[in-house]
Amino acid sequence: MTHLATAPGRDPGATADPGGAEVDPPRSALVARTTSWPVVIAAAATGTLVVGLSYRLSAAGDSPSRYYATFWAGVLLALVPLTVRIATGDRGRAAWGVALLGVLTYVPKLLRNPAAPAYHDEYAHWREAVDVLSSGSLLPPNAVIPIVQFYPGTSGLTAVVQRLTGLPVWTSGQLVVFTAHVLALFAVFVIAQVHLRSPTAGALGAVIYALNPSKMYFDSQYAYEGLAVALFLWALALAGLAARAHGRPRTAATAAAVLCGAGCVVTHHLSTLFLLLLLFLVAIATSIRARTAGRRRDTRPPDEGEARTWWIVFGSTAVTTAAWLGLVARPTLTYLSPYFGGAVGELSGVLKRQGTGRAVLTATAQPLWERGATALAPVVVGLGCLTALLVLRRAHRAWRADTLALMAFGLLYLPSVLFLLTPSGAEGTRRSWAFTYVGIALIGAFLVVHARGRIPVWRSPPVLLLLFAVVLIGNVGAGLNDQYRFPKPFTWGSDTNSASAEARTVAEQLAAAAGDVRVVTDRFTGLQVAAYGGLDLAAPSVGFPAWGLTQTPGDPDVPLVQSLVTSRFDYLVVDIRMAHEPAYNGNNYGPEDPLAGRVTPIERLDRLDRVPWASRIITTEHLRVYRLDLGRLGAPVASGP
Amino acid sequence: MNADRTSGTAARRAATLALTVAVCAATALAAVPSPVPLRSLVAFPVLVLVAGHHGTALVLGHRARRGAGAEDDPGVDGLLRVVLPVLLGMLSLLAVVLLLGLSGIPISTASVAVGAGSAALALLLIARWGAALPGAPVWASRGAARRTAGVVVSVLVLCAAVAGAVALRPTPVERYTQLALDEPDVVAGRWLSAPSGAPVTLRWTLRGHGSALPDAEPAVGVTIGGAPASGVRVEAGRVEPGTGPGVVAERRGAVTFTAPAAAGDYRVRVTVGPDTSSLLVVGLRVAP
Repeated sequence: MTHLATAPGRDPGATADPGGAEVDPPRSALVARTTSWPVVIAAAATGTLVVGLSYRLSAAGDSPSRYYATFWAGVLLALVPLTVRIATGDRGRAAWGVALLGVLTYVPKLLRNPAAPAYHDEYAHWREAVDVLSSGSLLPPNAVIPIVQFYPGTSGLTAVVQRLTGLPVWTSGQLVVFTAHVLALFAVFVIAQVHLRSPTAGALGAVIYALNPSKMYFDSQYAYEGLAVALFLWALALAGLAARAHGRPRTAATAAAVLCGAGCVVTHHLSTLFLLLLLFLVAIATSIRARTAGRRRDTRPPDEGEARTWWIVFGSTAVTTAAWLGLVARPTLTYLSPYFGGAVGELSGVLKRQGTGRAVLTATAQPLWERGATALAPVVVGLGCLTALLVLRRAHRAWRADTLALMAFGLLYLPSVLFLLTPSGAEGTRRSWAFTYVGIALIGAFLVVHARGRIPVWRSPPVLLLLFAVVLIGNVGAGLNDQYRFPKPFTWGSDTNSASAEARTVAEQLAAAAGDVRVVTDRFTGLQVAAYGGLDLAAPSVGFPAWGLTQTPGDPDVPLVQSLVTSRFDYLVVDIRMAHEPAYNGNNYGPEDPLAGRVTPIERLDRLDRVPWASRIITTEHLRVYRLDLGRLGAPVASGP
Repeated sequence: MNADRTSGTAARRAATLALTVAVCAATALAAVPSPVPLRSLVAFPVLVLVAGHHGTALVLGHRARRGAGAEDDPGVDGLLRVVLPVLLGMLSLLAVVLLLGLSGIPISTASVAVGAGSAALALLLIARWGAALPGAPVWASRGAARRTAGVVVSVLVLCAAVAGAVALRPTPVERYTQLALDEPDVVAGRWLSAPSGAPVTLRWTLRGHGSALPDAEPAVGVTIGGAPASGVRVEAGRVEPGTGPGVVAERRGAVTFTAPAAAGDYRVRVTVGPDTSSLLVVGLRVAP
């Protein structure tokens, strides 16, 4: 039986290592002492505590410069000794290092909100898992992000873990996401080791992938990306292994890759699209190489099975996707199309200076040095890619086509940074980095392992450490904003820091008193109402301007009343803090909110206590719940007994 | 030779039987359901890792069958044998929930436990009878045990650090009162109705979150159509311990007042306590 092991120089059909023998720098006594396992673990534990301290400072409203500096001191303290250990060639225990890297890159998000959802998407997925458990059905509707209903991978797996362990739903979800987070790094480890034929490259690839802007926060949140990205990466890793194996092991690895692809399909739409795109690119590249191989003396001999393997994985994933979209997740295309079309149009506008763009790295709480690193990180990555291209230009024929295709896919990261300038594209761009960075990880590991002997800069540990720190700090800074990364005092109008126990208990009380009803509310209170009350929310838009109940001085107009009545939106929840300060995110009811950027005048909220069509049935210091009876709009009300 | 083969077969059967019993026991523990620590630390890992380990054996084949030179092979085989069981165990659970959900079987504790147990058993039997795993499990060497101890200590240190970091953050306690109407008909959208001059009663609950309610009875005010109501009678109830999550104390009360003499639709405003935000507003239809 042939096994799936792929060792340097033993790659079936591989030529001699084109980059020269793998170079492991000698570990000095100092490096060995400062990166021994006890030191690494102690540094990791201390760094974790320092990150916790930074969150204490930010939650208490301390100055950003202090809590940012504390945060990065903690993260660097935890990660630098470990990274040095991995980078200096601890082959035997590199896997332990990567596992610890997975833990340490998960810790900041875990500490951010350890006990309950805080991010917008977390509310949606947590509620979905709760509804799966309470209804026993796999696809319950989702009020926060309706498309989540059709991608049950994360919520379904959470439900299974909860049922088997008896742990709380949130803890079960954290277990799923944490496992996926660590598995993703191991997938990159396998990808880099298999493609670059070096265990050191494997570990370095995992380290570089861990630097991607989405890894520490966005992909570590409790949402479908966390699980789907791991399955995406494992589909690639196992397909790469299968392409290099023969006989039964190839079949088995291909089947496992197909399973991972199918898991990705039922978990997340965008990850599936990226998987299909990448598999198609690799399949095309391997097919072209198979046709042209052997014509030149410096090219590897063709391996027909390699291209076939990639096509099988691509074809199976495409068929599963088509079946899933056709039978279960029909609304996906409608959901995704505005983002793609909108972003391209907006980028075109930005390039023509038509003012459709968004400002990046402008006034935020981020200190200047982090913003500088954010601007520098793509430059460092770009220079690394350029160097790799120069090195590969002379030797690319000696590398497998799938390896080169993955690296080429990674280059998409560089133009994708431009889409940060567009409102529609910014979201998609951030989500793309988890995928394109697998190519960047390959390029980076290739540079360090195979080109280190040729290019002096890659031989200097201080330079490498500096680049590591710049890219780590810069990429995390590019990922999510201050409000997402740090716990803060209550901030009205922020997705992450507007949550309050007050809103939660009001949502629970309304659900207990009124049952499964439909509610109009602002987008921030709505997260609590949907997540904790399980209630259905109005989605205000130009065609359904539900904001008319609070954002206009008079009664709602007749078309809105008809929409509200026929759709059974019978309840209104108002948080009067919208009258105290403008929403941090700019609006209370979405981009079309007529009072975007401004406070809602308190008179418009108080008048609800005088109109005949609303009864205040629950009240707290800040929240008011009204039962709407819009049939009484305009009806006379008597005065005095 | 024959004796070796016989003892190998016996060992394989014994291992298969032991694992089958373990999976069945784990399924029962998960289905009952047993205490959370038992399910989390025993049943769940057994179900996931038996499925994952045997799924891995199906993908990679058995380590003992590796060819010459395999011992010093620095490839990914060893890594995959550690990581793939987790991945494939997770995928088996995903497959179970998808099959349950898409075939219309309710996702309950029993169905999930039976599904996960069946998946683990199926993979176990296919892998072992398909000879992907020819013998008994190989137990850890002394070196491996030392490494495991090191890992356990590291995990404990890191868990302590995470717990310490969580504890560093003060948990803010929100203190507020919630006043809710206890009239299901009004909550459902119907107005109060009463003949003119008849007594009307409204029930309410005041809940203290984060702090207790004052023992003194709250002042209750009622206006009808903007004017003070007549015949107001308050039953403020007593402060009781809270019954909901986060509720420190609650007071259930009622206010009775006289409906106006003139027929018509009125707005009734009820305030409970000194805080003007503790206000309820309902409609009252007075019949002649």
